[in-house]
Order: sequence, then structure tokens, then C-alpha cells
Amino acid sequence: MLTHDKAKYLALVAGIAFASLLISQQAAIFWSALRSSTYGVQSASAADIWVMKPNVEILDLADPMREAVVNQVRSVPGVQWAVPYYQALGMVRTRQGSFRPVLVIGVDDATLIGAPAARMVAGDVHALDQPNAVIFDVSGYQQNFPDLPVEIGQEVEIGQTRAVVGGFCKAPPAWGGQTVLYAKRSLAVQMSRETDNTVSFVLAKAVEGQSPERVAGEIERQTGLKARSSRGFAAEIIVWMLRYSGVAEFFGVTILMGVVIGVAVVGQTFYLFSVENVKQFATLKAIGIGNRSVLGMIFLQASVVAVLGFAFGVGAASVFFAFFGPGTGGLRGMNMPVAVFVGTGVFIYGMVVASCFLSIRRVLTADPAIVFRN
Amino acid sequence: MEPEDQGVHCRELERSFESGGVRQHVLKRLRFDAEPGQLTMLIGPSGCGKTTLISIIAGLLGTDGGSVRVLGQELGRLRPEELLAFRLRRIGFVFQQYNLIWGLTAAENVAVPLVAAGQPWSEALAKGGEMLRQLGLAEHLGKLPKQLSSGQQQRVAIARALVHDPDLLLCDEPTAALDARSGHQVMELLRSVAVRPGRVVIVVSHDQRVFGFADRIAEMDDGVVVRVEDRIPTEVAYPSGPS
Repeated sequence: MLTHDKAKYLALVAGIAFASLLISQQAAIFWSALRSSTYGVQSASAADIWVMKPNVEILDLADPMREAVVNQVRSVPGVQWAVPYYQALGMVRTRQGSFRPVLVIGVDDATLIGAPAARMVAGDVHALDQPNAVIFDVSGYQQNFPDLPVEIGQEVEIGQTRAVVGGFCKAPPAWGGQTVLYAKRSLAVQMSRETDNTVSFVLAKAVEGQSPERVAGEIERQTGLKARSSRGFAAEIIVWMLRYSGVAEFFGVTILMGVVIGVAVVGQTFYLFSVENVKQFATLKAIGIGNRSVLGMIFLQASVVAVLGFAFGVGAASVFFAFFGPGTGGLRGMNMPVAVFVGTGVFIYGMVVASCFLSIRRVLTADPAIVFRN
Repeated sequence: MEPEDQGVHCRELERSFESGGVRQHVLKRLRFDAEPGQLTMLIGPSGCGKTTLISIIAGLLGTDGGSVRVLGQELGRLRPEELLAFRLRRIGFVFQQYNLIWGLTAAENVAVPLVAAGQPWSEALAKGGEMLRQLGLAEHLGKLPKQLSSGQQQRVAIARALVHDPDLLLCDEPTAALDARSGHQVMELLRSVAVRPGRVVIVVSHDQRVFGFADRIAEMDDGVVVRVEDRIPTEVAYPSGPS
């Protein structure tokens, strides 16, 4: 019955597709942005405990500490090893002479813990052992040095320090939009011209068999510093972002628009469909077809338009990420997580079913005797 | 089974409706009979209760009093699901506006009662197609209702009403939306295909030009049957020329 009215059918599919596109695309960007805020924690996968000053809440707002805290942490029972981790803003001088901010991450000189070993696209993290070597996020490098080839061995100037590109990795931009680059901590400190407080975080590993949460608690008791398991720190960062960054409200409003558009279009169209076809439904009921069968027909039609609309909408969102995700723009590294895909699908189907429920009242209460009224 | 059990028998039938705070008695102790093997025509002015009576006989409307015995079943004693099954298996409907399902082809429309009764789709579709061929619509099986003329649509509706071989066929003004020629053809079709021993055919009609097809004419007025005429159907010749 629904396919008979082509205009209404297309409007319904288009409405669902648009709602799916808006919801899935914005939710995926939201998800990717939140995930990127914990990127440093994910990269330093060898460590399972992060230690910082008590006032620090997220990675990007670190309050550097003195070198001595590393030994303090190492001395806590349950700590297998602890290494310093440094991050600070630096300035890259482009070939044209202008400056661009970068987030310089300094990993432990001896162990290179914190370097993006699993995300290298060219070269190896051990290239950092070379003098003045850095590893650039490849997209950020292309953005900052559009006239330079993406080649190992290129020389760049960071914080009045000559650096040599030793490799390229894939990393999302920092929360502030800066390109990320990795160096040994000693070089990173030099690039950011820091002198006293050269440890942003201490990365530690719990002894085999001890939970990171319990060891982190012990570090807090003995040092007075704040310590979190990697998982706990990542969760706290996300909560902070949701609470203070405004990202939840920004994306929430857009996602809500998708929901409202979807519900309005789908609900209204289904209602009109039911009203306009009430005599046809009454005919089926008069012939002897029960309410359950009639409802089955309506839900089948609803399911078909829901699947079609969802496929078009999520397909368009996926094409969007396939196009922009690998690029060098602000959406680089973003993609469509399975959870967003499934969540959008569940929501869209639920919305269509709910709209059906609201509209089928007219069908259920249709008096079959109206078939004899003209 | 008693002969009476095969027909439609209404006794002391009463039905009223509330409208604007006023109760209107539409059927008043009505008595009506339609016998198998005959085409019974129910006639009368608008508002006399024809539609209410046919709705009650179809089991679509309840009564305030009296009894309705259809094909040996006292309708008032059937539970809703039994009534549904009774309609599905034993009654066929032809409506004034055809009431075909717009999104289904002619053959699919005809197959609906069979599918609803549990027949496999392919089997039902084959039977629907066969029924349409019998009614001269062999070339229109795959067409949607909007691609058919009014007369063809009504023939599809008749095919849908007869495909499950019902014992009672209820036709509500089957010629009202058709021109004279098509209306005549539809009545000829009903007379030749629908009327057979054991089947009750009731046709509600205003159209005096088709009264000649009836075996019995029951005339209603103000909620009662005021006249019953048993007759031999006359051959009704369609006047030549355009309608």
C-alpha cells in the first residue's frame, strides 16, 4: 500500500535517510573527538598507570613536575617500572617563515615508552635514537609543510631547534587542533625551552599480578600525587570533555535535530498513510483478515522503509568519512565506529516502529463496516 | 442439514444508532430471507437501512435484538475470531468502490483471501490468475488497479469475492460507480458466474436497470422489508449506442 504512493514513499525513505545521516555522522564525529582526547593514553599502551599533579584533569592541561617525582613513583611497592613523559606546545617554523603550533610529546629517552609504535606509517620509533630526530603525524606534517615531500630525513625547525624527520605516524590532532609530533624527552624539553619542570606525567607499570587501580591508590598515598590506571584516566578525560568542553551540547543539539526531523517526518507520513488507507485496511478486516495480520503488513512495510532509509543515510555518512577521514583536514582520523552504526540502526528502527504504533491506532479502531459506506 | 440452514434468515431484527444525542431506529423488527441458488436484490431509498442490514449479515455489525442466521450459523453466538474465520472462508464481498488494494496487481488482489486463509502465495496467485481468466481479464493479471478501467476493476473485485468459493456473496451497489454498459456487464457476470446451487447472492442496488437479474427482490423502507417479490429473471438487453 505504501509503495503505491510514490511521493509519500520517497519522502519517508528520504526523511529516514536524512535523519540517519545526521545522527550517525554527528555521533561518529562526537565519538572520534572524544576518543582523540585520550589518544596519548592509548598510544602509551605499555604503561597501565598515569601519575600527575593533583590538579591535572586531562592530558592537554598538564602541570609539569620536577624530575624527582619519577624516582618517588619507582619507590612505591607494586610499581614494576616508571618513566617520565613530557608534553608541551612548541612552534614550528614553516618554509614560508610563519609559525604553527605543535604538540610536542617527549617520550622516555631510554625506553621510548609512549612512542606510537603501533601507528607508524613510515620509519620506526627507534629512529628517535638518532640525534634531533622527531616523528611527525603525517597529516599534520602535510598541513604544516605542504611544499615538503613526505620523506624521512627532511629537516624542520621547531622552537629554534633543528629537527630531522625520522618517521611518520598516524595521530589525530590534539584537542586544540595542533599537530602532534614525538621526540625523545630531552629533545622535546629543548624544543619547548623548559628548564626546571620537565615531567608532565609519570608512566608506570604495575607488578605482574597486581591491579593498576590498587597500585595507583598506593602511589597516591605515598607520594601525594594523583595516580590513575590508564583505563580510569581515559574515562576521566572523557567525562571532563563531556562536562566542560561544550562538545556534548554542540553535538547533542545536532543529533537532536536529526531525531526531531526523523520523528516529525516519519511520524507524520505514517499517520497520513494510515488515515488515507483506513478504508483499505477496513476492507481487509471485512474480508476476514485479523488485526494481527494487518499490523504485520504495516510493520513489514515500515521495516522495509526503515532499512532502506538507514542504508542510504549511514551509507552517505560512511562515504563522508571515507573521503575526509584519510585527508589532512580537521576531520582526519575520524571514522564510523561500529557502535554508532549499530546504535543509529537501532534508534532508526525503534523510531519507525514507534511511529507505526502511534499511527496504527486508526487501523486497529477502523470499523470494517465502513466498507459499505460511500 | 435443513434447507433453511443454507440461506440467510433475519428475524425480528433491530438496530439503532445514537446520532446527535438522538437514538435512531434503523432496523425495526425486520424479517428478511435470502435463499441459496438465487440472486436476491435488496432495494429501497437511501437511509432505509439496506447498508445496516448487509453489514449485520456480513457479521460486521452487531444487533440490538432479533436473530441473524447465516449459512446455518447464528452470528450472535460466534466469538470475534470465529466470526473473522467465518467471513474469511464463507463470505465474499463486492463493494461499490471496488476497494482493491492499490499497491497489488489484479492477480495479487484476487489472491488476498486465499493467502489470508493460509494458502501458499504462489498457489494463491495461480488460482487468482485462473479466476481472472475466467472473468475475461487474462491480459490484465499483472496490472495495478489504477491501470484498469472501472468495469475491469469491478470484475477484479468480483474475482476476489469468488476465488475462495464462498457460500454467501454480498454485493453493495456493484454497478453504482459504473456506466450503464459496464454495469450491465458486471451484473451479467454476477448472474452467470456467481449464482449457483448452494450459494446465496445478495445484491444491494438502487439501479432499476439491473432489477431484471434478480430471482427475488426485497424492498425496504424505513427499517423494514415492505415487499418481497419472487420472480423469474428476465433477459435484460442492453440498448445499443453509447451509454
